[in-house]
Amino acid sequence: MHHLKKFFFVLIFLYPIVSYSDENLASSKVFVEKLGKQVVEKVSNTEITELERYNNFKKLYLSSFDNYYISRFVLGRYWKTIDKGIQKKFVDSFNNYIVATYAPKFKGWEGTFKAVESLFENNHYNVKMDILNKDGPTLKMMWKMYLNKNKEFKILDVNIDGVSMLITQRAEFLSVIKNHPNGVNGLIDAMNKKTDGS
Amino acid sequence: MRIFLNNPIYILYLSIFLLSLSPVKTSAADTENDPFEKTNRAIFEFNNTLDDNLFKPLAKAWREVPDFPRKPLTNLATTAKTPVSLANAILQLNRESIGNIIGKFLINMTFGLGGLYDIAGTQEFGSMPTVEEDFGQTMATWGVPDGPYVMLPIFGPSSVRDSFGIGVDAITNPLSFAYRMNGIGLEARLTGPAVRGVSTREKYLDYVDEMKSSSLDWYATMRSLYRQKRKKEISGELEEEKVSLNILPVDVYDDPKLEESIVATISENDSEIVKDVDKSLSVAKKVEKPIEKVIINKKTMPSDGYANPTTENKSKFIDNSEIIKIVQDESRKIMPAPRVYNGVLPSSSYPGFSKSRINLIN
Repeated sequence: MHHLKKFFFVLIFLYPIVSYSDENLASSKVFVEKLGKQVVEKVSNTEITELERYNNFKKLYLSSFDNYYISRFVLGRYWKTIDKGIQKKFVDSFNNYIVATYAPKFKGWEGTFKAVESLFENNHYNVKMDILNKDGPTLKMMWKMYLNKNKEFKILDVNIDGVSMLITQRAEFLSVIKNHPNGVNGLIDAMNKKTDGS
Repeated sequence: MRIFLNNPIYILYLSIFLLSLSPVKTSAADTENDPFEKTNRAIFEFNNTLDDNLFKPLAKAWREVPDFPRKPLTNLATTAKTPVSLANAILQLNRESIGNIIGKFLINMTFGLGGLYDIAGTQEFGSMPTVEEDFGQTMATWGVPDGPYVMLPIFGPSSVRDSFGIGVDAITNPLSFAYRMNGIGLEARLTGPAVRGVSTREKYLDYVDEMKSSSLDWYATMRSLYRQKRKKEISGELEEEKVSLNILPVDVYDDPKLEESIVATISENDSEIVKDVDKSLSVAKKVEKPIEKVIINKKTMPSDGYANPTTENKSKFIDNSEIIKIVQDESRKIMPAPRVYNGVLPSSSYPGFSKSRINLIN
């Protein structure tokens, strides 16, 4: 009887934690599905101008991704070697580069985002998702995200078929910096050139 | 033995294998392990030219071929690789792969008209994935390090270990012996690999074009993609990513002024969308308190830098976590630790969750 009391005490005590996990796991799925829906409505739409597409995607990217964290991660060890002014310049250029690179790819895309499962691992929410292309194979991907202090989900990484976009981007940037005589400034110039050209 | 020593190809492979075992001088910063970068880049240029002028047009033409005979030919070429995959699965003592390869082979050889149709891959047969094992993976399971990155002419990205593996697979393929015994020429022998190569290139046509057009350093991107993909095929895990995310300094937001200026820039335009997203998170906000209580001590999330709790609050959280620990210990005394389903299914094909070496592309 004494053990049974203890058992119920444990159950009652742990209830809020279990409840928190379930609610947030469900919310994380809703978050990515909603993001997908917004991409279809505001970025894939063929009736909007390219500028509108760019601006809509930028808004979605900046509000959903932790772009400051991502910027810092992709710059690796070089982040601390540059002053704050260049850091700010890099974050701005990187955001524009990402938006200019990916926004046009969604033009006319048709399909649905279906969150299959969400797991809480290592303080991150990993949401598995099926992207059901209207004309094409289903793409399986995983979103890595967390809840910030304002209780907003922020995406850290997107993983497609075992390939992390974050790690790939960092590998590329570090190589550009290593091979460019102007280092990080050279990378910023290369990004700006690419952004202006697209 | 004499035959091996007399053949320069065997000696070349032996040299490459030994090279993979020897330590390579790399600087601390040189994490990509690419000491032959200059040569590799030159070969990469050659491969790109070859791809633009030969493989890509072939892949585009292949895409235009009707489903019949395109799919049966692809299936047949895939089935022809079964002996090599099975031999490597056995060498790896990978029961899951052995079962999958034999099961799929038997189903496709009988119901699939001798491997022309991938019946085992249909829903009726449980959507059995195509498992491919090679000697590079086998050596990896034996603990052989991958060695420096190498760019092979025509074959593309590889490592010293995997290059050696390609050679061993080609030499020991039972089909090669069968071809030789029946006097089948090299042209016929190359049909299978050629069909597989063109078919694979066709699958990646759009993806590669998109990546290439947006890349600042296509060589470095390919190197990273190869490394990550190979790692996943071998271990079934995304270890590199987990490590990379966890070793991030917790002071990501250690500069409040810079953070404020960036957040201000971000917030200028996105109020409307943030509102939309916020609505979907209303459930999460109701239960916000316990979140901090649980995660505040772990210090592995970038959000730890956001929260910046006061010392007073911190001590409360620590107390609380200690209480949780005591309660959990007590509960263990009452009942044994339950077997918890951790969401990882052996056959799951989602990135980051797969524990098998299933080739997801197939």
